[in-house]
Amino acid sequence: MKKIFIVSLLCVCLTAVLAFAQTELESAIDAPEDDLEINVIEGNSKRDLGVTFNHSSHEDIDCFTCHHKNEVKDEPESCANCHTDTDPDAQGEKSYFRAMHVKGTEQTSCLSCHEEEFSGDKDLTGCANSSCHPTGLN
Amino acid sequence: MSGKSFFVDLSLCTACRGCQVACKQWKNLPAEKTRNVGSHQNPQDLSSKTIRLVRFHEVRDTNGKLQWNFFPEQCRHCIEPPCKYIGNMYCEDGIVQDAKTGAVVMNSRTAGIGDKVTSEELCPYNVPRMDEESGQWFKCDMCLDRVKVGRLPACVQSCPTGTMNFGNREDMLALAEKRLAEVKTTNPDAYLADSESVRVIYLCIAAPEAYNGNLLASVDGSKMVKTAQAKSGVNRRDLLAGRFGSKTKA
Repeated sequence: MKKIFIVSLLCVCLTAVLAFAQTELESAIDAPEDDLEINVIEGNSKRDLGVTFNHSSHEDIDCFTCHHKNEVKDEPESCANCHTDTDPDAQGEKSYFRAMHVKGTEQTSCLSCHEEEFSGDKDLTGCANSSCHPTGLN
Repeated sequence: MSGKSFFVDLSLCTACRGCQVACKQWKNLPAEKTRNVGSHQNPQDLSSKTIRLVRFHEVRDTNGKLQWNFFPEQCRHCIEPPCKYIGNMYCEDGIVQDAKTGAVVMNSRTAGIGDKVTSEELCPYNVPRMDEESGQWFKCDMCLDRVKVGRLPACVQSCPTGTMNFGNREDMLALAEKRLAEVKTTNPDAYLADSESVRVIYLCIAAPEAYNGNLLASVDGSKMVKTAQAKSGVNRRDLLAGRFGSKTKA
């Protein structure tokens, strides 16, 4: 009985150590706090069309899927550093709106990934009053 | 730009479909071949040839009394039009917003969009439709040609009941609030649908799901719950997305 107890204690310790090592690896890059306001699109109305983005709900995705161009290795930078044109009608790769919404290009966008992951689920692929824009587009 | 707006008083609509016919006539759109499926709604859905449709829905109210709800559906001419922002990523200025009225208009350049996106991806109300042959997208354009010369849109002109109203946005919002107050004396559950975000303001006398079609931009709570139940159980994603929060709301 005592042997079993010791073995199981060892197991617990090993698991804890492994789990700790795992966390250490993942936290090499510190993601910003949740409730990050990532959208700077300027539309017709006075309200901004902001999206609250939580890094924590996207932790299964590799950082560099979204932060795809980085000058400094392992240091993700803000989308708005390169996608500088905040007009919703902007075209080309500078367009912030396009970076978040375009489908069928080489680089993935928020919406294209959501379409792939949550196909047919309006709450996660829809527009106004979806999870992304819960209070509509006023 | 405050522009123009419609006020659609659903408490007055008798579903005569005068607006649907007037729209077809003014836009010179052909009839569609349909078959009787046991509803007065005809055709069954919007199309590139039917850009305005009176939807019918039979539903029992809370007292078990049968209600027949009519919903003349059209483009809402959103203040922030998602179709324009999304659609124009795939074509060059195929969707434009008229500076004076705020009308959202699709032109022939929308052929560049084709089937790269679905209607639901373009529009939170699922209104625009693609012509299968050309790939061009169609929807209501507020009868901009009529409005620009001081006329009413064809649907408003034809309405015999006072359901359809059209004018300056401030006036329509004031009329909507006035009618809402009146209707609320007999129907306390009445509400205005998405009045802050769109130029077609519906005064509704029944819950959104008691109408056929997308009255609100929101995700339909009851439908959402049904589809989730149809799938095997509730998964983590559903819970994370908080989709069941809408059940209590609906």
